[in-house]
Amino acid sequence: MLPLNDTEPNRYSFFPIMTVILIVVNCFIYYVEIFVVRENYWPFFMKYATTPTLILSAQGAGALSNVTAMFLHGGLSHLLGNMLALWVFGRRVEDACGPWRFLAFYLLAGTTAHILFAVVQYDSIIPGIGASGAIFGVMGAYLVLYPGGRIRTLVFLTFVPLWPRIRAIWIVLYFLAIQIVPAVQILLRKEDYSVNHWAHLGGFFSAVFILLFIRPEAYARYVSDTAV
Amino acid sequence: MAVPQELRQAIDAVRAGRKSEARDLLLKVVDEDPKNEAAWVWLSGLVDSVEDKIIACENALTINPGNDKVRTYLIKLQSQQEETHHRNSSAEAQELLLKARECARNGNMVRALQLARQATQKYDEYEDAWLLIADLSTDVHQRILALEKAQRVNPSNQQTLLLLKLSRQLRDDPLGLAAHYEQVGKFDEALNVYKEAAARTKESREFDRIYGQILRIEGLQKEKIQYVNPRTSIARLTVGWPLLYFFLILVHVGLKPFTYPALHLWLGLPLVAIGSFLLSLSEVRSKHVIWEKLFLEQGDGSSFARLVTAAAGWMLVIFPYLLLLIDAFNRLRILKIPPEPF
Repeated sequence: MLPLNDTEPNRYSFFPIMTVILIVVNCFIYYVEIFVVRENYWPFFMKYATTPTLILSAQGAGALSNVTAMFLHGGLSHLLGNMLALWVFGRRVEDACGPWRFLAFYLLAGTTAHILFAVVQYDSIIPGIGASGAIFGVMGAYLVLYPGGRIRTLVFLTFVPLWPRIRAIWIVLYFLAIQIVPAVQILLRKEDYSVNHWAHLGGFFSAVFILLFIRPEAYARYVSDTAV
Repeated sequence: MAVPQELRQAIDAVRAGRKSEARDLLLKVVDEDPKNEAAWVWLSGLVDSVEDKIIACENALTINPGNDKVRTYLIKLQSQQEETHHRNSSAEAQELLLKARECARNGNMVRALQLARQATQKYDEYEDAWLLIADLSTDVHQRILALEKAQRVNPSNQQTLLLLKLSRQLRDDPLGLAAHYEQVGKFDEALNVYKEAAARTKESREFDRIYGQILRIEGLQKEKIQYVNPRTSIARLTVGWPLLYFFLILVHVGLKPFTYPALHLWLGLPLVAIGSFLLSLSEVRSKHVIWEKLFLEQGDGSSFARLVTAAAGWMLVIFPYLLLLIDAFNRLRILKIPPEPF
């Protein structure tokens, strides 16, 4: 299941400038990772990614690494998947917030994700990277704001590609569901995963904060129980 | 002499209670001798109407300006005349105003306005008539004139003062007034102000802009959007940036929130909160004490005041984040990279 596009138009703004800026910055930093950092990735990640042991012992860049980690990716598919999701779900969430408050919410969701990751995997020395925590926050926010939203999604029926418009709730629930089992296993068996499931959950839970960031008109619609 | 003889007869007739006869005799006297002061004085007490009495007294005073008794009587008569005139005019004006209200109720606004104007012509100090004119006037300048008149008649009427203030705002800044109505949830009033502003504007771009607002509010009405108090919006939007800062501080200080020398970072939290408040205030159009105290402005602040507030807000928000960044870079310099586990 691959979300492709939100087919609904914007209501408050013409262009999701901050979403595009975030995508461009993420791509640029990935370019730096590939062509500048290259083999030297370990010290680079130690400095600029979120490592629970360093975070909890107040070492390293702390708040800075928390933010920079949101812009680091471990591979092209990691980057493309995250950026596609950011584009699909971020556009209308930004529309409801305005660019600067959307940025604040995005960073808050990423930070919440890293806090939960650091708390649950407190003894891990594996650096956490990726925008997915923040993007799960954006997905959750999308669900809060547009529960009836439909997303054009690519699905494969065995080998036959289909691209129906699926309700966002099913897509978000699907992505949430596939986090639950590994997250519980991490908690109970201390199993290590290459995917930061607790950060994803942390980001998703931060979606409740979206109501602090949406513009007054959108909030008025939200409390009036009409489409935001 | 014939004249004094008739005057004496007239005085005797007055004393005998034959007023009509006395008046006729006196009229004859003044006709023959218009300079007879005593005849005019006696006559002033015998004629029926106040106007005639006044004429008699005035004639007596013209002959002898030093007659203080007649002068005092004349002043009394004039005051009586004025009162009577006032009473008559007031009664006619009241009648006209009743008719005007009736017409207004029946939807005949033009006739109602005409009648209300006639009422003020009859009785210039008629506050209710001026208020009705203000209420019925579609032109804001005429409304202001009527309200000014009503306010002059009764300066203590707070409702008139408020209406006058709003009307002046409508004349000087109609879009600001419409925005104010929208803020307080009066969508109908906001729509009326926008429509009035659209009717008055001569620039097509301005008209398009106002028309856009009209469509937007009509849309809100159709959607049945609930009114949200601007204070709620300001409070809600204020929380976001400090919350992010708080979470970043938590990440930054780890499990050493107190031992780690991070007091200056914690002190940044109220600064971010104040900055975020100013940002919210500059964005949500609302009346606030800051506009009155700092910028000496009524209402919800001018563009300049909003710009200055937003700039101050951004500075206060960004400064603690910069301190946090500097602290992060300082820590980065002393970081010992742990060995790679794989």
